[in-house]
Amino acid sequence: MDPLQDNGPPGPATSVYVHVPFCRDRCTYCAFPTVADDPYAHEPLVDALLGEAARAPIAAPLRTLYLGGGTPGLLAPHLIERLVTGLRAHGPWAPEAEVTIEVNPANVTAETLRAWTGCGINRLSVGVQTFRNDALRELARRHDAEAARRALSLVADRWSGSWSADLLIGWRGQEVSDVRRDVEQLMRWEPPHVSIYGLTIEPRTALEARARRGHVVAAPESLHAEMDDTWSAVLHERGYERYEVSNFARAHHRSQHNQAYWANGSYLGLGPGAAGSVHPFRWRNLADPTEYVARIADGRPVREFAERVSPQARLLESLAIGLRTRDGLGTDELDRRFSPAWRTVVEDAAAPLLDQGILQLDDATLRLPPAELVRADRVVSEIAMMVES
Amino acid sequence: MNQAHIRNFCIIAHIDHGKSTLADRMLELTQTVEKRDSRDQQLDDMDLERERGITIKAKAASMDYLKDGIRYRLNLIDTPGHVDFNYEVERALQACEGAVLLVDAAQGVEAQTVHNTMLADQARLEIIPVINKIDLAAARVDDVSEQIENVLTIERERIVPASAKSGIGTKEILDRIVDEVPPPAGDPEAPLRALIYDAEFNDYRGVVMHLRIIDGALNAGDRIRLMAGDTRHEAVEIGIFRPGLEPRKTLGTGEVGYLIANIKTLSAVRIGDTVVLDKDRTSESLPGYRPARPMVFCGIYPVQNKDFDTLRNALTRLQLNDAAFTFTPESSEALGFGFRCGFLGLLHMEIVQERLERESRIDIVQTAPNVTYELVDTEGKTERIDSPAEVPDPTKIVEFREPVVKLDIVTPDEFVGPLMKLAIERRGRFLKQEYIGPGRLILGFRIPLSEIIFDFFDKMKSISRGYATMDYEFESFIADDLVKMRIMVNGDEVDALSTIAHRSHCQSRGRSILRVLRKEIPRHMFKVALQAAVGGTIVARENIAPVRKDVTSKCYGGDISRKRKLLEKQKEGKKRLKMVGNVEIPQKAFLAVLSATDD
Repeated sequence: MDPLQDNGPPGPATSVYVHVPFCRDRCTYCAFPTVADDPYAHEPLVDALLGEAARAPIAAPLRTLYLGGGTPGLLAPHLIERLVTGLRAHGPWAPEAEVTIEVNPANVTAETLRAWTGCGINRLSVGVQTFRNDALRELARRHDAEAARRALSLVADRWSGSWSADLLIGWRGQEVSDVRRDVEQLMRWEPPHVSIYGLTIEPRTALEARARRGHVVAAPESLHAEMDDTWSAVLHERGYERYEVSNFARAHHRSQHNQAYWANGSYLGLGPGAAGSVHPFRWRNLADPTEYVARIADGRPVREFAERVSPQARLLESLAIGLRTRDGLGTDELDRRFSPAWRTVVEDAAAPLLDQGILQLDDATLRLPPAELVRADRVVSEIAMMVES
Repeated sequence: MNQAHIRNFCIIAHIDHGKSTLADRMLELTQTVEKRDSRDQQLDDMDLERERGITIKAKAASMDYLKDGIRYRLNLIDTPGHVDFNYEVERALQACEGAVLLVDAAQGVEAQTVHNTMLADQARLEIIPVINKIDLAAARVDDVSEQIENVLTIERERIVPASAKSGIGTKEILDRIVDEVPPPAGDPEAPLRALIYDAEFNDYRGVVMHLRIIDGALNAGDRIRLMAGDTRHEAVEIGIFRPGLEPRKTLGTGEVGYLIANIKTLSAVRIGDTVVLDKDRTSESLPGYRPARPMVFCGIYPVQNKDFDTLRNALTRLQLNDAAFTFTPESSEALGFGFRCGFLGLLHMEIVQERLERESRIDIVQTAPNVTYELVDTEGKTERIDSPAEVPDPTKIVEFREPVVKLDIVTPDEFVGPLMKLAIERRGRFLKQEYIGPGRLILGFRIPLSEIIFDFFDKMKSISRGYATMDYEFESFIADDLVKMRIMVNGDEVDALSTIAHRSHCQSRGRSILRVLRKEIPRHMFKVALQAAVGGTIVARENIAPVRKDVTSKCYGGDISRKRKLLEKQKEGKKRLKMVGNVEIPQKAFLAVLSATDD
């Protein structure tokens, strides 16, 4: 048997992630690289982001751009415009490129919506999390439920592009009935796309510190299954497709950017703390924005971590993210990228899962049956247990 | 040293009745130690003993005491305070002519007090009864005096009231020792015979033997022979305990002291052995010696196979300090390579485990303890087995014998009913019930050792709100309807969870073991079936339902290497779990048998 190889993704990088690290408040669960907002730092950051982009020009037409954070919506419209226009100047763009910005409901106004459209943004990701004020306060979210409703109404009435709403599940005190109320309330505005993430206690977050002191900080995990049943039933009824374990979309509204990640393709990450991957490497930038800006200005490197990913590790990654999707992984693409040796690796590592039908491998795809999608992370950790990486 | 001026004595007491404190006061009063140097409880020098407030290893101290113008040499021989060390207690008593019997004025006579007083009587020791802690508010001096009179048949007029903590009575006790304890007999003209009543390992000096010179004398530099071990050595250094080591040129008849002979391992020295001069070919050994024999066994395994050698080194080191502890390599399908370890009893096992944890940094899995069994096979051969894994096919067994002990429980009478029930449920046979004082009695049972090594002590304490105390003594091996019960996880036998049990107990014990396993084994992707079987019959079953859903976390801004690192970290964590088939079993589950309680 030939050894496992990594021939790389089918094409060059066509996705760019831009990290804007500023936040007015730090959410208690957030482990992203963020810093307290400093309006004077906005403009130098945008210049630095463009500076970093200039170091790695995009060859193929860009298909997705994602402004995440942090709170990119904090940037003044003219800075966002300068950023997006500047990035356009660095290379060709596909005609229908998806350009997303993550926004806090507090930043959504008729003016900002207009301005964002004006700079070429055609997709919004609105961080609603929940409509319960006590939970929003506990999670230290910037907005309250009323602000979320106002933002959603504005988006539903005036936004012509695609958009998504994020909900957070599993906060302290949440009941299954709260999940139903949150999801049903969200349906009033008929978002084309919904992301529902479980609250995880990440290291170096306020929640983790509280948990370490012995406080209850999350809903019991035993409730998650029933919560999932609840939201997935509501969304299914409303015509959403669960195309990834945490993501639901109406027809033609899947996130192109996320799908690029999930295919384990190449993408660039710009900004402090941003991660990128171009075959056969992965890297991450240093997280401190001041240092980042200074180094870009001086022409010094900003990557604090880079690795050549082994074919074994790359296969594990592909499984870890690909098995969370409804479509799973195409066997032709797996054969092409990793050589048919991937089959031995998977068959050895996942024999009991394949035997029990928890993992399915047929001529065209390797995937979880729809009913098993909710256990994707567990399946992956079982497989990871058994493969060398 | 003039033999007539020597007094050798020990203090016998129940745990916490104040033995170490009294010893400290004696050392201070005789100026053997300066008061300002004295840590509390001079004689307990192992941390563990200090923490638990009990003495495990016997220690000694020689004190000089002036009475009526004569300087006496009082040798205190400290005895271990627990049933597991019965043999060591007996040997220590053999080195004395007198015993101070210490009884707590609030607690009264306990099972151990009765037991040790009996041993002291058998050794023909002069007993000086003392009631300690008389200044406690809860002291019941009259009641306790009555108990001493009734149970121990000692006249109450002879009792010394004392409080070791505040020094009350200490001088009177010393005076009584001088007046009542006879000086050692022994023939100074006879060839040397010395009793090894204890030994300890010192990193720099090797083995330090504790000796009582019975006959003759020992000089530094003598060529000596250990009779049971039949080994020859040079007496490199001899001396007395002050309580530190103080070298001497000679130890005469009746004296107590130490001997260092360049011996590197404690297992080369046997407690109860006789030291003679190598040139004396006809000497007879002192009575009572028998090799220490472990009665309780458990498996100790490294969680990671690569730690096997490290574990072996750690166990070897422990054995240097504890000759009664044994270990031999064994392997288990579930746990890989490890060791079967033997202990004198359950407390001894606990002590060794705690020291192992403290002194080495290896993650270990320990299996539930079992006693040693005797099997008679179809050819009439008798064999000892120390592990359920060694049980042969039932058709090859003619008799399956287990160790049975005589158990004494001393308790306030209000708990008699439930304690009786507990002992009888555990296959105990009731032997006697005797009042030893107002509202306090002693219950006697004959009971299989296997039934009291798990949780009997804790149960007894909880039933009696802490008041009852117990002591036991091995009697004999007795045949019964014993079988091996196997535990299966998804059809795979987990050999480390097998137990030997009485046939009539298998169903309820099997159920409770499975219930504990169900709690300890995490949910898997698939259903996990647990079964307990005797021969081909399933006697209990449980299922662990599969995981339904995971918390699905967000992938941080395309930072996929972070996700991969997380998986790798998880993998490291899981490596520390043992796998049986596809099922991960945490270490705690291997103790299921221990924490399982019968219905």
